Amino acid sequence: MISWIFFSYIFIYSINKVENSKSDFMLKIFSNVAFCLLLFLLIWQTAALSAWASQEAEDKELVASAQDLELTRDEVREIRSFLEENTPFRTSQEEYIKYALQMKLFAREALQQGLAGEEWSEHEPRNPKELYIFSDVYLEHILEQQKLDEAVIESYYHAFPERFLKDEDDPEVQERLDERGYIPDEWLKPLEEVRSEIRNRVLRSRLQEIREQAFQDLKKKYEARIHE
Amino acid sequence: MKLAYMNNLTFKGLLALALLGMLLSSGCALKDPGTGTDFAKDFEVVLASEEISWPGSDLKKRFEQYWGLRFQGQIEEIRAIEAPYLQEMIPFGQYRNYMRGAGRNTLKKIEVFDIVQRSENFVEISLNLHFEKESGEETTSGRRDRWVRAQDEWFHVIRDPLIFPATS
Repeated sequence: MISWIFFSYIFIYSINKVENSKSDFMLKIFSNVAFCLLLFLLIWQTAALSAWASQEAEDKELVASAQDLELTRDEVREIRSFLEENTPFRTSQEEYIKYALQMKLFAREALQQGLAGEEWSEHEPRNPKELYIFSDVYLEHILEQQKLDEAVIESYYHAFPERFLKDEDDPEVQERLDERGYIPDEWLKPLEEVRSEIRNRVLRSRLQEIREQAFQDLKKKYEARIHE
Repeated sequence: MKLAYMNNLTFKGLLALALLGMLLSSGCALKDPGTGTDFAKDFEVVLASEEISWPGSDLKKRFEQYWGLRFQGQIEEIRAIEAPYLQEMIPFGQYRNYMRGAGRNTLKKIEVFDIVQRSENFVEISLNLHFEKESGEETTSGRRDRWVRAQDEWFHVIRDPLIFPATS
């Protein structure tokens, strides 16, 4: 802006001067240079404005939409930066769009169902971090809903007796473990005490599959689609 | 008189059929106590010393059934004998890839040289598998087999930290 004012001033001043003293050769040159510079600035700024406008349009471009929900390219970029800063997660742009849509759908479902607390039900996530937190609330809810057969829990509990010891620092316990000896049931924590830990371990191994299923369900529910 | 003779004949016929059926089922196949899957047992299981004993007949049957089916390459059937947590944690496709090659060789003998009861419901069995390759070459492979009891049934346990780190 300052450069605009400066060159415009010089240009107008030099034209006036040239008109007042037609013989001043130096002033003529000066005015020509100022004119060229002004022209250059005009072209450069027009190009910059056009690039900015096209970037603005691209940022606002919808990459996915659902009922009452839109995902712009700019939001995907923000989510991507957030993920790259906070996780070792790296993938293609298509996957980032899919993941961003998933986060938005999960977060919205968590808020609408009041899973994050009734006080948040009207809240609109303002940044990727909030989006991530609320989407995680929904994922946890989905994991809690998963049904697991009792045999799954029981078999895991009995297959890893060394993981559920009441006192693994006890020298007698250590000695028994070292020599692959018999571990009596009394040395183990009760199954009820470790049930949720086992459940968590088992379900976490299927997290990707569970997450994908939940995403597909919400996509269907809200008629979400990713634009090509 | 004729009717009594006929009844006697029918009774004898039925008895003979039942006996034949019993002979066939006991001689040619073992029945799984849990899943009801039949398999042909054409290999022997020997204990390397008299000091070794099975913790129960159920485990022995289940063990024989598992290895019999595995060497026959019956993936779905052996998967049903894997520990329920493994069935839950390992997708079928991954399991099938892991078991690729099962069924190529012919199991001849399983030599059990140690059975360690690690807890009331967990047993480790050290064994040698003697089998014949497709080429006819006879080979022996040693391993430690693990078995867990859940819901009063024995299940096989896979521990492979490289392929299945989450379950090992």
